[in-house]
Amino acid sequence: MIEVSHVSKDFIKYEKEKGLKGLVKGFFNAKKKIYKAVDDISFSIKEGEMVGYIGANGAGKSTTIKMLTGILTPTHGEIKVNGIVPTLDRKANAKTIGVVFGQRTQLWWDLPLQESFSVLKEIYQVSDEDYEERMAFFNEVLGLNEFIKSPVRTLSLGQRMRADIAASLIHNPKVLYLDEPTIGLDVSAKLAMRQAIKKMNETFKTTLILTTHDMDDIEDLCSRIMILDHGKIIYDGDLSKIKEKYGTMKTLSFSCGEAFEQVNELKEAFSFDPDFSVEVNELNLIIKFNKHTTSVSQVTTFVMKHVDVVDMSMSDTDIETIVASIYEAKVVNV
Amino acid sequence: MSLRPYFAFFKAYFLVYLAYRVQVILWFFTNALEIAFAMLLWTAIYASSSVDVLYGFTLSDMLLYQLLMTLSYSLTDMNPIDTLYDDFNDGKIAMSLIKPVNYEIQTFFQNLGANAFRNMVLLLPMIGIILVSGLLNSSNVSLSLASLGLFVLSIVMGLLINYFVKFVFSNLVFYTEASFGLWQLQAIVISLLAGGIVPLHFFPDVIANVLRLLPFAYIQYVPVMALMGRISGSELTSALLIQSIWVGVLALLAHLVWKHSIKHMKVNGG
Ligand SMILES: Nc1ncnc2c1ncn2[C@@H]1O[C@H](COP(=O)(O)OP(=O)(O)O)[C@@H](O)[C@H]1O
Ligand SMILES: [Mg+2]
Repeated sequence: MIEVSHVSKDFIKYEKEKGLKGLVKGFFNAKKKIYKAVDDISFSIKEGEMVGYIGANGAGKSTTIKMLTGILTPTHGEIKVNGIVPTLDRKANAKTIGVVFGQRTQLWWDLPLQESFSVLKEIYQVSDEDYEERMAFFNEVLGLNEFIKSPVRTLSLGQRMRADIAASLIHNPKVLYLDEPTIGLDVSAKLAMRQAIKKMNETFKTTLILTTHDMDDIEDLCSRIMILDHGKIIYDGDLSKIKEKYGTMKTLSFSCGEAFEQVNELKEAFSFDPDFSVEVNELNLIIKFNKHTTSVSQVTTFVMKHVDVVDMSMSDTDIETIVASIYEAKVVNV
Repeated sequence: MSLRPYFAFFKAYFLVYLAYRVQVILWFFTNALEIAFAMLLWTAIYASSSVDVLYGFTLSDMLLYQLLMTLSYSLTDMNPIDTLYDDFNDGKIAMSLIKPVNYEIQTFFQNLGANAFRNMVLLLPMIGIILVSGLLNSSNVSLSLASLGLFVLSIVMGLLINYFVKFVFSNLVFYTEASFGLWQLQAIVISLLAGGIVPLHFFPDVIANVLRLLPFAYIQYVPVMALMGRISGSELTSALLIQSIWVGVLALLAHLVWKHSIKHMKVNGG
């Protein structure tokens, strides 16, 4: 479905002086600086796959999506989506894709939402029948009718995003690119959005590439993730594998009634677990350990024997922490 | 290629203006004020002059010229500059490029929609003023179906020339990433070169001859002079021919410039 081989995108940054003089000077000898936003990435995605594309701000996620959608031309390498090279045949590619850039809207600012959808219907040449059916579905899941008559500029961020998601799906695209589609959404809107995407994927085998900072979105939708760092893909594979490898750590946090002073004894007692670590922060005690070697009851028993515990909580490592540790390690072998 | 999606853009931008009713009323009065001001100014100039005819124009010719120039300005008014500036500068263009539409045609139809709305509001009152003023009679302009037909043809080509000239300019500014202030300057220069302030034949011959070769004269000046019967016969034929050549050349230039822009575009934001 999507084939990306050895793709890079360089941005040339000019160092310019301000004003007319700078303009003239810059015209003849501007100082060039090449910046690699995407650096030799390759991957392929099959029909119906849902892939999470994650990475820190500025990692190159949006740039990748812009190349896949045909907005930006890669500096090197080749992209094929459905057999089409997006930048060479932008219109043909555009017919089969849906795109949401969370930062901006594809709807017409001054038009009532209803009119934006009418324009989209004409652009994608959606039949009356399909249009009615899909609008009814979007209304059911995303609640569009509440604000369908309002001009887009008057919508709240959450309403606008729901409308944008509907807009990206109105022509039943084969591939859906969502670039931070959940920024600013409340929990119920997020759930609604995920539901709409899942339904499309189940019914039409819609392929999805999703970038987000919300790990719940990823865990809920994607079975595969790609992690991007400084323009390079540092991990591409199953979400479950990476969770297994990096997600074996458990964290126990205790609030104690008095200071915990037996740190050394504690460490001694659990020296068989190489991943074991203790952190004392005033009256708080945070213990991390590998759940395969150490059991929760062993740790709690030990702690309770030595101090008075006021409160206690336990957590598994979430994917966010996993990604953070992968960033630190840079190279991943799973 | 089906034009249907593009009519959707036409309609959408027509509707956008419906949403800005107050602005439309304001802009109606600005136009009225501008006309009144030009009328008063030229009346005063003629009154203080020792002759009745300036460069072949009597006062009523001049007043009619000013009215027709305002009318033709409104008919040919297109602002791809605004569209392109928004699209390039904050990266909105990405949102157009993800859709299966031709951006050049889309921009044209958007602007045409806005133009149609403006003319729906302004056209009737302006034609009314021209008819009621009696200036057509006093300047001996005889309207026929043929002369109106030629005027419409010439105005349509004028609209295309105006559109493409501005489209090319907008792209040049985009390359140089120059400031928006240049636009104010550009609008005044075009207006002057197009005969919007003074009729072109008021300029010294050397300048007037050069201006007659540039595309600007073919936006409003040629259609208006043709309607007033000041250009006729073989002169009119060659004027229309040059006009159509400019349409072709500028359309091609606009397309090439656009191809270049899109290749070198860096989409901001997101
Ligand atoms: N139009 C541009 N011109 C120059 N640099 C850009 C441009 N667009 C993005 N970049 C740079 O490329 C890098 C990657 O950006 P982006 O793909 O938007 O990151 P992400 O979406 O992962 O946050 C950033 O360092 C950004 O500054
Ligand atoms: Mg981004």
